[in-house]
Amino acid sequence: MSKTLSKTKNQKSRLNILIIDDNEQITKLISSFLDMSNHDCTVVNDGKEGLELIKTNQFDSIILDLAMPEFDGYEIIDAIQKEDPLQMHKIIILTASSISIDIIQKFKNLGVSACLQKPIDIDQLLSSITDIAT
Amino acid sequence: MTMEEALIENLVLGNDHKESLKKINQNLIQYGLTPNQSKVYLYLTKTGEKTASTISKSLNIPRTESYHLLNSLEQKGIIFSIFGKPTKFNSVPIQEALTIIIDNEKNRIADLELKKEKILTLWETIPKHVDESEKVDGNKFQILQGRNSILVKIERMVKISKKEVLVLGSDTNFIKFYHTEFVSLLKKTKSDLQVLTTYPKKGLFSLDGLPLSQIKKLDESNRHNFSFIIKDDDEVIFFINSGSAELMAIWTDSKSFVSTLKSLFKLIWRKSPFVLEKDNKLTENMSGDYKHRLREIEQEKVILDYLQQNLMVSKGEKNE
Repeated sequence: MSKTLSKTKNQKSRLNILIIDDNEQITKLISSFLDMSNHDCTVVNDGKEGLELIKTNQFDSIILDLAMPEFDGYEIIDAIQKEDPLQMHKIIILTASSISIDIIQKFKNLGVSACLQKPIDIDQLLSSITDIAT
Repeated sequence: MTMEEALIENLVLGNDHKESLKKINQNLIQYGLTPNQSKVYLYLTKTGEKTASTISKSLNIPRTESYHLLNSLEQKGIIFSIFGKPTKFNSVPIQEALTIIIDNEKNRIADLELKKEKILTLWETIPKHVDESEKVDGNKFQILQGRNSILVKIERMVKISKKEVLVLGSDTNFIKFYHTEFVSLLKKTKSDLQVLTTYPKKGLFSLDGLPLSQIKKLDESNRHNFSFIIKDDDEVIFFINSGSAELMAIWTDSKSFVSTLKSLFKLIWRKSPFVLEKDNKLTENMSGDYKHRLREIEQEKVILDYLQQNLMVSKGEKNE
């Protein structure tokens, strides 16, 4: 189930952000924070649904978790790379999984914008999002 | 069951206890009582002292048989007579009765052990008529029925094994040996023990207690097909899945049979991982999951703190 938050605010720097993470608590908190920062935010807690939204919508940034049941972040990255590689630079990986420097480099080589390991400072996340837009 | 019996059961024991009574009756039969002995004993235990005549009428047992039954139960020591005219009978409490029956059985077995030596000594004195050269080793087959007879065979095999004992079968295959000496027998062996079995997520059940370093994991393709126990190079007991409740097995010392099953065992053993390897992986996964969850919680806290701070700032601005 997807839901769009903060659609009423109107600013030039306003970004349209998709969050894909199976942890509902995290997605609620990030969307509240992005809402507070005057960005539009769409949340999905399921990988397949997230991929469908990427295919059918235009987002400025995609915050993506890696470890998800059934359809995970790796599969989404794989699908985007095959079907629409130009969208790769919009992806910010935000994961609680252990990721080695080698893996981070591989994601970077694929065109992923940032690869962040939880917990991260909230300003760092915001800066990664705005970096994509500039 | 006669109408009178039914009435007695209903009046004396009540309808609610019928099933329990039936089960106790069946169990007492396993303790060596005949169905009628069990019936008389339970009747006396529930109703108290009674004359032979009353027992005979109440249970619809011929009077002469009731005297035999009372006599045999008295000999077993689980009922007693009270002198008087007429003589009355009563039972010893069930806990005591069960102990008496078990002790009697133990004494009987001890007596049999003693007699065994005497019989063998006597046997040696009898001249032999069988030509020893005709004796055939290594092609005997024996069908074993029931848990106890199989267990006795396993016990003998494990005790006399000199080299190795190989066990293959799923945890559920061996469940029928739960609450028996099966695991302790295997543990006691001085030979090399190798066990190939399934390893349920909750851990071993029927083979619980065996050292994990001697157990390898049986994979999906082999778990339901067969189970067997091999002793050295010369005996195997092969369990048959007959679909009946009673456990069945074939024992053989056929060299070709043993060597075929042993080759199969060794082949599966080589390919299978030790259950300990699985354990380590599980621990690693659990530790990974724990760290993962911890990072998620820390991230939630970071965002919550941020939101809380911003909320307080905006409230302060409004108040100003």
